[in-house]
Amino acid sequence: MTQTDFDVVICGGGLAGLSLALQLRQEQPVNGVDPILRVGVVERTARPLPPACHKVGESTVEMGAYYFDRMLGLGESLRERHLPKNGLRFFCGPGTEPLARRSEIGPVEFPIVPSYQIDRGRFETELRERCEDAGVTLLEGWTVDTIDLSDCDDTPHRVHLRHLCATGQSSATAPPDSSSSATWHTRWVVDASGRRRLLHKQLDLRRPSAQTASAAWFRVAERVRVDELVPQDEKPWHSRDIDGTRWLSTVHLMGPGYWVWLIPLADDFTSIGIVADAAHHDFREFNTEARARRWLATHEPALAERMDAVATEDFRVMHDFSYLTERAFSKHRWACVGEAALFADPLYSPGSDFLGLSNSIAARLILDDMRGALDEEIVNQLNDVLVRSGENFVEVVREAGVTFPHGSIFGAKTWWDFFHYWTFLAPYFIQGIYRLDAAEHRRFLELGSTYRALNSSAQRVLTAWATLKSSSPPRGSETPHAQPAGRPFIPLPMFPSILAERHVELAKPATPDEVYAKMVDDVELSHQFIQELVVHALSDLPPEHAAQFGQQSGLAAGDVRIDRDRFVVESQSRRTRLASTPRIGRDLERAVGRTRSGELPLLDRLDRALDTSQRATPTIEQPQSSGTLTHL
Amino acid sequence: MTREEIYSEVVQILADSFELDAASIKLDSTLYEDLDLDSIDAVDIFVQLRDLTGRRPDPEVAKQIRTVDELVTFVENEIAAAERGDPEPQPQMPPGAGT
Ligand SMILES: Cc1cc2nc3c(=O)[nH]c(=O)nc-3n(C[C@H](O)[C@H](O)[C@H](O)COP(=O)(O)OP(=O)(O)OC[C@H]3O[C@@H](n4cnc5c(N)ncnc54)[C@H](O)[C@@H]3O)c2cc1C
Repeated sequence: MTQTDFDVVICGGGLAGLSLALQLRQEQPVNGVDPILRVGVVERTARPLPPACHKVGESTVEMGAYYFDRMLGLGESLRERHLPKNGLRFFCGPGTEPLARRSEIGPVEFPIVPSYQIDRGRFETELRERCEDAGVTLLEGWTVDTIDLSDCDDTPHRVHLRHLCATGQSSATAPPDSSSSATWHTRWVVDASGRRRLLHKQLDLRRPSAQTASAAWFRVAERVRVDELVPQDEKPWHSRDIDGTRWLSTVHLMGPGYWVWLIPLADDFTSIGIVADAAHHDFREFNTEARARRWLATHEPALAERMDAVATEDFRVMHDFSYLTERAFSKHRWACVGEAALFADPLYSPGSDFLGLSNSIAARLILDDMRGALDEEIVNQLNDVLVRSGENFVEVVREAGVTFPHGSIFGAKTWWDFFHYWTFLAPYFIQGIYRLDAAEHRRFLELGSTYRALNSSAQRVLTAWATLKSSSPPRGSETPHAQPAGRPFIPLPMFPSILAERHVELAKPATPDEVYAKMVDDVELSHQFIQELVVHALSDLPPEHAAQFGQQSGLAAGDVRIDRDRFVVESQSRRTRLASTPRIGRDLERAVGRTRSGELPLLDRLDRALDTSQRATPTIEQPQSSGTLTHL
Repeated sequence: MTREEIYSEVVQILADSFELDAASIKLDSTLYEDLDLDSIDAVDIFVQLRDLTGRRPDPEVAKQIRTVDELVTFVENEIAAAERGDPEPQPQMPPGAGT
């Protein structure tokens, strides 16, 4: 046996491990690594994998879809053997309301930047074949027992394997020797073992997440379509689905502290899952199939009724699924990818985004090392990107449960969340910024921390708005028409809008300088956006809540940039108002609607929130001690 | 749906969306001058009208519309087309969408 058997050993051949193996073999020529990189993958399960009833994690969004489609070149297969996805579609409001009465948030047309609903069994079978064709050594039916990390640069790591079963083993994938255990020597070792987190556990890298939610999901051998839950005579509701493609979305039915997903799979299977926040729902109420069905009957009766006639193919639960990581990449030649690194939350389907990002960073570092050019500084910078992106995503979901029942608040939240994703992390990944060297990359790291601060601020405003909204009685004086529960339909993204532009731009190649300049401009837009969230919240909440809103949202502490002129024009005629509303504000208003502030003018509400109400006539010119005065 | 019903639906949509007094909207009101709408408003009207017509509007036809009366006639024609099962215009890709 040679000193090293492999350049890279990947422990776990699930979605992350297999795609990393493929990526390494594909990117290698571009990176001028010579000789051919020796990549080994050890995977417990052997083919054939059952189609459809396999694993959770079917829905992809832009980054993940880009990763599989464009970077790994699997687009043709995705289009032919899986389902094109019609974006994410949310139905807000209590599940006991008829579905047609709940606000819908979702795309009007099929999205321009594609994404897919992936059948995991089928996809991973194909990836295994492709890995073998690309010359990857794939060992199936073997398990990694332990990993001995080497502590010096010239000695390989040792990965100890054990054979699980003798069946399904072709000679092409035979182990190095025919005994039932083996040790592989390798320069790099990658943990891709999913929640088993082999190396991640060994090195005690797990960091707790502030998100405490649990999930349960069913796989059924039937198509369960959201439009079946709405009576045929609800004409306007059905006519919104012009092309009859709404079912191809990942459908979210949302209520206080929970959401339920409906994901169509190829071969007429459907994945149906419950995700519920521990602060609102006890896991023991949905942790068995019978209980989960009962839980659905209480919270989402229309769906439960539809499912009465449907047999479960498989049912699984996951308690307190969220965790973060201390580190995912090391100069000592190891990496953790996919769920072996972190998993924050399934809302907005970011699983394959984090997978694509962690794999691409790992691939870059491994190939750098093979060229003898591994720079400790970039290892740490890229580690920071992944770790902080995980934390940032926890901020997105941590308190989201209070916004779920309110169509206009959750509508504003999704608008912000998508904007935030499409202005920083998605372009960062899609434009390949993680490939830059440390000196060039550093400025993006700094920008990333600005974006995270903006996100925290936006989430605080949204949470304060929703918390106070939930605690205030519905406005009695207004007729149902003047004050609908929310817009019946909130287009996301809406054309034309800044958000739609950002979406379209994802597909256009740009240089790092162009990406950077755009991101800097979008910091300004993010500030404007957060101020618009404040405008909506203060108009919507009863004036007696304004002061409390100021406290809870960070407004009183000066955490939100405020331009008082914007609050003055709110009371003027539509023309005047629109003329001085920033474009992003108009977009948001067109999407989620506008609530007129009624009895107390918005500026006065702002003063209550800023806790400056003691001043009877605030002068517009005078900068506020509690906020920065900026003219937009 | 009768023309009367369509008219009152259209008025309702205009009044709700653009903060207009329903009583001020007349059949011969012009969208851009009398009602003071702009081109973004126009896009949004047609998105909302899809709920009523169940069809994607032809942007070339939509662009010609100047008055409330023409808007009502447009909706009438769209509903008739939907009932006949006429083929629909293809979705409009915004400029630059190159996938
Ligand atoms: C409730 C929930 C919903 C989700 N929904 C989505 C979604 O809609 N979209 C999405 O993208 N993601 C979703 N995810 C995340 C999704 O699970 C991940 O994106 C994806 O499965 C991670 O892939 P992976 O390869 O890291 O892990 P896995 O797919 O779990 O692969 C790990 C592999 O390692 C193997 N293995 C484990 N231990 C060993 C060992 N000792 N030796 C050898 N092999 C081993 C396993 O057999 C397995 O094949 C969801 C997660 C949860 C909890």
